[in-house]
Amino acid sequence: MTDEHPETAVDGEPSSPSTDADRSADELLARLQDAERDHEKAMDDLRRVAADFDNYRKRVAREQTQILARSGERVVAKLLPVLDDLERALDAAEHHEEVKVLEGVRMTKDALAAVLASEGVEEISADGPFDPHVHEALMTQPAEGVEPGHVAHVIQRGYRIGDAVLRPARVVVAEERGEE
Amino acid sequence: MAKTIGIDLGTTNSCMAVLEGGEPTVIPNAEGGRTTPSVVAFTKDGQRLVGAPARRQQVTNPEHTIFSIKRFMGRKWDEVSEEMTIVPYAVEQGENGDARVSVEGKQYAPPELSAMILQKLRADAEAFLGEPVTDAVVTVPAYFNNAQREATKDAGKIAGLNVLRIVNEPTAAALAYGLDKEGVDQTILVFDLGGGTFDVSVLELGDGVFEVKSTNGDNHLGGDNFDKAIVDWMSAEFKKDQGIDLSQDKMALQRLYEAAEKAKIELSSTMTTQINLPFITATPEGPKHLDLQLTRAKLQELTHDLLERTVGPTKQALADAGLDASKIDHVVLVGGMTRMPAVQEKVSELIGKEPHKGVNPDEVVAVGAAIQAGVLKGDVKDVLLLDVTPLSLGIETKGGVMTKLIERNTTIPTRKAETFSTAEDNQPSVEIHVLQGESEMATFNKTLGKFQLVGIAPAPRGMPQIEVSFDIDANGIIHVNAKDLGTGNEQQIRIEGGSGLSEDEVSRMVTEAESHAEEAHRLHELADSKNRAEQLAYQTEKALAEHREKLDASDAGTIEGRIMEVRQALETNDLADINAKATALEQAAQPLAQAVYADAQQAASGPPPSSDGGGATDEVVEDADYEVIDEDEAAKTP
Repeated sequence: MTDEHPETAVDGEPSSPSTDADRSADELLARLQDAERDHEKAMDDLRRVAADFDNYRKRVAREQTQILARSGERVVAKLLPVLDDLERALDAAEHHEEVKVLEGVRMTKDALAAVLASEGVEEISADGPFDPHVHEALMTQPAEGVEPGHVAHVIQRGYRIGDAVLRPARVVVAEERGEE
Repeated sequence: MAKTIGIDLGTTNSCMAVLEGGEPTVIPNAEGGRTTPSVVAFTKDGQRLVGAPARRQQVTNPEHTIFSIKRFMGRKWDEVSEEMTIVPYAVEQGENGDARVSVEGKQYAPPELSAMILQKLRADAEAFLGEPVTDAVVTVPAYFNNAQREATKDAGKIAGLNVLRIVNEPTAAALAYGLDKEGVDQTILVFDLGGGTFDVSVLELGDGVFEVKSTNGDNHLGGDNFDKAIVDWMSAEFKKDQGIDLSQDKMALQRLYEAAEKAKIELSSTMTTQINLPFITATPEGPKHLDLQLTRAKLQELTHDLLERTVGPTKQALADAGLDASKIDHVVLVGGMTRMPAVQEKVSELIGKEPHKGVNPDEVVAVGAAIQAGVLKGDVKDVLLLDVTPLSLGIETKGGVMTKLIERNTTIPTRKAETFSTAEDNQPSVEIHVLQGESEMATFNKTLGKFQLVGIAPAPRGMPQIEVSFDIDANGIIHVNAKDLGTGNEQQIRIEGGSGLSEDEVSRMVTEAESHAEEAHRLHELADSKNRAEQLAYQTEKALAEHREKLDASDAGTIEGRIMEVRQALETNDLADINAKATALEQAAQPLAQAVYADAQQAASGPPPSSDGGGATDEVVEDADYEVIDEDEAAKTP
């Protein structure tokens, strides 16, 4: 590298080996410094993007906690009138005849079902074959008039919102050999 | 770069996690659960079910529903004679003497069945991450021998996963708490009380490598036993009250178990809980309800014997490791049952040390596996090593209030800017008082530096716009810059060592802020009220000067009087008085407001007003919240 090469001479002017080396060393140094500056800049950008992401994640986590806390409020507010109705039913039970109370309780249940329906809650159908994706078998029993492997009866209704199973229907499944 | 997931392949439940941006996240399964039952079922119509659906159909299909397969992994048939009798499915001897599960005449090796669980986890992880998953770190109990570890690896292979490493469960738990990062050698006791198994392990960490010194446990002790103890009590109480035995009623039992688990969980945070099961059963006389109260003390009494069963194995593990309890540096809790305060107390009592908390004990092993996966993949975060600012940063604003620009625990480097204004007419300079700390009031926080921004052009208060920006670089050096957006003048300060606080200092400052919180809040409220009242007096006075001729002389006099009263009240620092006087002024100023409003309406139909009037007043109001800058008026008024 210390040899003089015509190509390294700037503007074709003849130059001594030392100036030439100095010059290329200067140039390399400048380029190194540029590269270092670029690198530092890029690293700083990277760090800032990473830190921004980290802060974003923290913010989202904080917001999620808040949303979670608040999301219940809307539904709960809708449920309060049902609680009132239940209190009225209890009050009525002390003073009135059973038939009237029964009617009131049934209406209260309808009101509750309506609130849930407005939130997209649907009852899971439990007719036909047992489906472990939406049913949970509590026991099997011989059941007359029900095909084996089908739901014999529901012990606890199941509910879904869209595709999400809130709670599987708890069922008794007709036994395989039940029909024989 | 494809992600590597961490999988806790458990006896009862499995869990998976992944590092996202250097932080572990638990991956929910397709059904939305954060853990997946380790159950595989082969239905009569030839379907294969894994997870919750498999568990739900268990009673209809007990011989073909495989759970607890982990107990058979890598075991010889003659080693598992006891386990075999507990499970309802058939366990046979394979050609090489291994235990095999037989379903409809077909033999399955335990790794094949575990692979079905892993396959579901893998598929759900791919759906969650939106990319193929090929690599995983899987955990096993520390006591697993080579054959059991190999079997686990095989399960991964069958599921199409490249198992980068098999990690011991207690080691993963320690990793989840970052105990490998403490830099010194230490001993760790991991207490794992899960759904059906109890494991205790003693680990030694040296040169960043974990070594299992001893393990012990009880293969048939877990949360299920605790639930059963509560159910037995409920059904005994019910029998005593009502003379009816619920323990033979399957449907009632189901409700009892659910109520027991719920009560157990509730008693981890409350001292007493009500167990309410209306219509639990019916007799010819009518429906019967179960209504019981369970206290934490009673629960401890009911489960005392179960808890005592953890003592022997723990002591034995310590003895086998050749260690005295006092030599244990850290205690880590794993498994949902360790949420129970009595369990935590038992552990503290045995070891004499508070256990680590914070990571969900159901997920801590999967989280640790994900961290190990990240380390193996050389995660980005290790290269970048981002720090957080330990305390909030801000400036002092009008009334001695600290206005935060950067909240504590913000990851750095970060930058934040906000625009402020002047508090006085023709204010020529503002002082930027840089503060650090958590109190609402400047006086309870630490001063990092102060500087003046001078040369603000004469303008009504609230008009100049001064942008204050905070920039904390990666080294924690804080650059505060104030710029007058009107003149372009700027001034800055560089503060080093703003985050060079020791942990003790940080916690001291946070505690101090808490201890002054009430006082600070009161002062903040006072400052806000003063600012509002002062602003109101100022605006009203200004509007009065302009629209005086439109008012009755008596109204104008009243307003002037009320302005005086507000200003007098401002001297007293009496919050109630200031608010009362401000309200009185507002009422008195109503005729004036009407005059201004009428004027503005008139103006709106004609040419715009020459200046200020209603418009200017509005602007000032807008800025009022941000108004700031030093109440030291002497320093600022020319």
